[in-house]
Amino acid sequence: MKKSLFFLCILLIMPGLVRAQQIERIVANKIHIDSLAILSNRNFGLKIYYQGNTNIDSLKLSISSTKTSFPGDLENVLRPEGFSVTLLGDNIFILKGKGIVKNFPEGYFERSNYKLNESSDLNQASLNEGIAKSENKIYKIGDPNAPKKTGRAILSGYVKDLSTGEPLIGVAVFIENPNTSATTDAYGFYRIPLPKGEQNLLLKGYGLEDAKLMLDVYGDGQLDIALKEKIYSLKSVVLSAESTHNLRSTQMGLEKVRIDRIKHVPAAFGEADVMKIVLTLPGVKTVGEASGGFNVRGGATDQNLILFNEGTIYNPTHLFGLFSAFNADIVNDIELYKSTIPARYGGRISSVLEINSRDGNSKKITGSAGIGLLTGKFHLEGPIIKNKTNFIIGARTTYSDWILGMLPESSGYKNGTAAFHDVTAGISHKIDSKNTLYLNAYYSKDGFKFNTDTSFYYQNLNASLKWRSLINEHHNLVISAGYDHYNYKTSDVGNAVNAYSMNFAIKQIFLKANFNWLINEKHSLNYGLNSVFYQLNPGSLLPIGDESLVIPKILSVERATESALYLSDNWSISDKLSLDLGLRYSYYTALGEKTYYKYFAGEPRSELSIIDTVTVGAGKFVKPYHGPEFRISARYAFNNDFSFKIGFNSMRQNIHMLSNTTAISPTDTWKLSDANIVPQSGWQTAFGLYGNTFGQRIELSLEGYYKEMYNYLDYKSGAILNMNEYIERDVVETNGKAYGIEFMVKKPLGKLNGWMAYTYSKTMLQQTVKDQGALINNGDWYPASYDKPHDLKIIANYKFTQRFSISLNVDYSTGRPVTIPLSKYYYGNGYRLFYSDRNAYRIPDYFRMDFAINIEPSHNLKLLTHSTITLGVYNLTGRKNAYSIYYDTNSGTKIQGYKLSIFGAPIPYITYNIKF
Amino acid sequence: MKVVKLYIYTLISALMINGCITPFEPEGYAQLENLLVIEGDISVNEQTEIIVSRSLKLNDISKRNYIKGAVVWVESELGVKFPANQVISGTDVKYVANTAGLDISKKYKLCVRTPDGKSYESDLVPVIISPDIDSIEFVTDTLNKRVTFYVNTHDDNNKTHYYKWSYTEDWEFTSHIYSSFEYNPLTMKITEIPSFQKNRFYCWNKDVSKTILATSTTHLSSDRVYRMPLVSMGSLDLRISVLYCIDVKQRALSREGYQYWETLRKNSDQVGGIFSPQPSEMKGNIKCITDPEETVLGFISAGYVSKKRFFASKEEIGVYYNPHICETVIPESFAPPVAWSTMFDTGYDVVSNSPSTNESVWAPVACVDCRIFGTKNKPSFWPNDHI
Repeated sequence: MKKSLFFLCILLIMPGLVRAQQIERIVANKIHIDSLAILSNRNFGLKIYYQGNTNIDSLKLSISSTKTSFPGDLENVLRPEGFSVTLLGDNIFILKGKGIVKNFPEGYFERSNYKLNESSDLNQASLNEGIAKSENKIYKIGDPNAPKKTGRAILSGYVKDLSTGEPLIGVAVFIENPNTSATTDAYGFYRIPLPKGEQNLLLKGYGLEDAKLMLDVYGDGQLDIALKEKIYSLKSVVLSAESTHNLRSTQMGLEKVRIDRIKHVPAAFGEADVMKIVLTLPGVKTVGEASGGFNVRGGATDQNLILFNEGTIYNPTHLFGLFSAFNADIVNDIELYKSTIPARYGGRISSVLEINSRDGNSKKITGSAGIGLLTGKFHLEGPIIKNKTNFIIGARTTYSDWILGMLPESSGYKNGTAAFHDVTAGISHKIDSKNTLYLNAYYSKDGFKFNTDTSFYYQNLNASLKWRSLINEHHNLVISAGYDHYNYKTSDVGNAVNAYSMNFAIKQIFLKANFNWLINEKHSLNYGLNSVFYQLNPGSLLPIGDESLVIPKILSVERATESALYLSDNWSISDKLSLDLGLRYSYYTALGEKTYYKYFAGEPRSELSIIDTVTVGAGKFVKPYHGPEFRISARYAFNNDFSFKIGFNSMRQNIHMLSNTTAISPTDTWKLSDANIVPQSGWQTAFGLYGNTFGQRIELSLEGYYKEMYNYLDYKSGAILNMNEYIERDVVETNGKAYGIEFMVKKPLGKLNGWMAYTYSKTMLQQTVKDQGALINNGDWYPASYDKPHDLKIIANYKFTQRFSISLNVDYSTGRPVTIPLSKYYYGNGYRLFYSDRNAYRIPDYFRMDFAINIEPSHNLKLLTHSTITLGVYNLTGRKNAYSIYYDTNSGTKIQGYKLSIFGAPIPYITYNIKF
Repeated sequence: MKVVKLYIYTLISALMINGCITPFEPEGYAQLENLLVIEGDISVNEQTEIIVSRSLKLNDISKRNYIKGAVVWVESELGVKFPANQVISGTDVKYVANTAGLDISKKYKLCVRTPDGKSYESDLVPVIISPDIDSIEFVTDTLNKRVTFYVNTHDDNNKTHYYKWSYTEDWEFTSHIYSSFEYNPLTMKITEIPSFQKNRFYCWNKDVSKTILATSTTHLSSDRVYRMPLVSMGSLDLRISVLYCIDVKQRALSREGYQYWETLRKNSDQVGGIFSPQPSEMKGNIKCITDPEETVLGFISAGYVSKKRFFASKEEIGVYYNPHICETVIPESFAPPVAWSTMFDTGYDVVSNSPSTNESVWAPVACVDCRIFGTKNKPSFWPNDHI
């Protein structure tokens, strides 16, 4: 290993030297096969292909040879180890056991046809295990006895991983003539219309070997396909499946990241972080590091729908936002919809972040364990009944108490504790070839004790059951139902008279039914129903102990339902032009039992402007809000490498987060729309240009958007947001507008891979309702606190070998706006500050660079365990990025400004993970 | 929740920081000055003291930019005026009106006419009667060696709900070493202090509350304030080294007044953290009549003030401990002997002098002369006979 690495370095550093020795001979002493492959390719132009799942990469080879004698010499070296060497053109194939038979045996095709005919009652060509794909075999689809081979047929099936049996998501399945494509969904399922007759079906997936299947299509049929993971040592041209997808679908503003990418991105304390990767995508901002929320294209933090296996997550972070609450070992991929949000999603006006967990290995029990500076984690997956029922379970916990122990005595936290854990579990059960059941559960809890008197905790709980069924070749459905829960509790027993505990909880029950119907090659329908029942306990304040005088106060429970019907049609007008027309109609109402006040219109809401008290009986509608939402997009493909898209969508949101802090705070409260609080709404229009270049190895995209938001809730000066039963009197409605342009260059594969994104954007807010007392900034537009116009992000990974890679992150953005003092005055025996208009100044620009080295010492598939070591530095340059600026009014007559940096120094870390 | 939020903020800051707070001067924006600030509350049982000043730039080193020569008066809702006189002491300027004995059933406003001819007035505010202070007490934390002074009050009628406190504190302390000699730098001689009246052993000092102390009891079943913390001191604090006195004034506030002070407190105390609220604008209840657009800072309340004074001695508190590292030096013992003037110039003062042996004993001036930390001005109400 060491030697070949060294050798490789020489090759990289001194290409001229190698070139000088070219042509003549290879003289190698005890080198690995991958190094030999490089030499062979450089010196002789012969490419060596070998199987990764053999012990060949542990052999040390010595060879001295010329070009002509090389294949023979190689065979002489390898035959004693049980390998065969076959020369085909300029390619050398090394296989375990027998060599490649270059010609097909006679009667091969007849025999395979015969076999298919035997199983024609299934109309299915199932693949034997162990055959990834057979490019030389013709698969017959449909009934071969059908008379005519004209018209179209529909082919559907699953694409799976050959070695683990897990469904493969996002694999492009397509034919080139005529240009028709499909992408596998979250279950690995695809459905594609094909002209009858002989077809070449192509499959491309990220990190997978490309496949080409020969089909003879007679009629509708099913075909399950197994793909092999790419054996990376093979040097051949790779194409990106994602690039193909980007160009072909009408979807705009969709960002998709696979978990292996997430694991290579350096993160604070080395925790592979599902949420932090979202922040590296164009159009996504945050007010500062270690803050829980994120802002998508000018939306507020509560306007993102975060779905983890269908369940809504209200607080996706641990330790107040330092880490995301999802275990990276369980997660398969994340999808962020920024722009054309599919009609099946609703309820938030800015974005949808969908996090999918994996299904689990269906062949054998595997797992992993890892330790980092702050957390330990473990996961296990495998079949319960082979090829029928799989499970996956993961857990994570922290030992972060040591951080508190490091604090100075005077901080008062030395005796504090902080703890969190999360558990994710999933079971999938295949009832038959058409029906599958999924059961998912998630639980996370964060608890803190600041000292013996004060404690705080919050928890998420989600459980869902999902049934997926193929009704027929053209039609399938997914029905899911579940329960989501979020609550927090604070208590303080330091002062006996004031000892209290405060609880807040949101519970919701949901039912979703989603149908996909491929009518013909022109139309594909997606329709269904979503329904949510909310129960929100806005707060209960209870005394603790006999001496406490705290009045038990329980704010009345808020209940509401939200239902929506949707229909969208993906209409391929021609190869070049396709449309996606979606309509969603949602109906929301708060439910009784409820008593509320009516206020005099045109007056600030207060006790004085009450004109009526209304009581609504149990189960009765308080005030319905309903309306259509449009999701429209179009794509025009100029050619295979360049397309243009345009879209419009509108959204509605009925639940609001109330916060007077810039970051998401764990004690932020949520509020359902009711008679006095109007739902938020918004619309966005966007366009995009997408192109591939350099042989489809580099993807370029340019997207622009303009959006408006209405009825976003801001707070009044001096507002009380917790335990306030008349919250409508303390909030103000604001409108917002945002626009921006996002440019991205992406190289998904290859030794050097990653992306670079530049965004220019503006987000402005305005308080419009003139009747609510003083207007923020006199009713003028002001920048939102996450308005950072210039934004550059680079995520890069360079693989020196399969065992060794380095990763680099760069993040630059304009400083966020803040409100700063303009003047000081002495009042009430102390210095007080007179502040500027809201968000009138900006903190200094943000810049951070992170670096990590990933080492995977063992790659051999036959080893029982595989370990990974990651060494890294977060904030390599140690720049003291300002999170905020503030002024100390107690330091003397001169008021000194200070800036607070969250990570003001380079933070090194190390993590160790083991897979088995 | 307030407490918990504050904890979270402090904890997160403490977690990350260790040197992550650095001084910072924002550039490229214009600061404001000369906003009019009117401070003071109308009292119906004592004099009303009003301070009129203008705001300053942040880096200005002066405390207040006082306005002299303004015309200030308190006016009742019936139009009766109670004029205030300008009182200048040193650099301080205040306007004092004799408002003791005002009719508590009327509403009052404060009016100011500045020398530049502009007129300002507050809203008419009702007189709010503060209940008596029940007690002032202290609790010692023997583990962390701290003492905290608290105020307790309640309103049997359940009407007050919003409270604000301020205090003045006086304390007596001593130098560590008693010296009956002093060095005269002019004559360069050591002389015996002629009278005990002029001793440098007993001293006094005073201070006022610096933080905004306000609370509400609206969340409690009875209108009772239990152990509202006023001031906290550690074991080295000179204030509790001999005798400490805290003189607390309690005012009751209207809901608007409470909101004003609470917002002011939040804007002063809780800015810049991860979870700290954004500074929010607060409008006082004072307007410029001549130019309604002009920003005026301040909130005027009217009320009956209740007061209580509380003494606590070192022995009662039992927390004070100071090792007093006071090295003594005999300058004549050096070869060659150090001159007295050199001793004096390097921060030493004389403890004793014995002309017969030609030896003097010196110690750091902070150990010998209590006036370094206070004055000889003993408060008139001081309960002991120390001089």
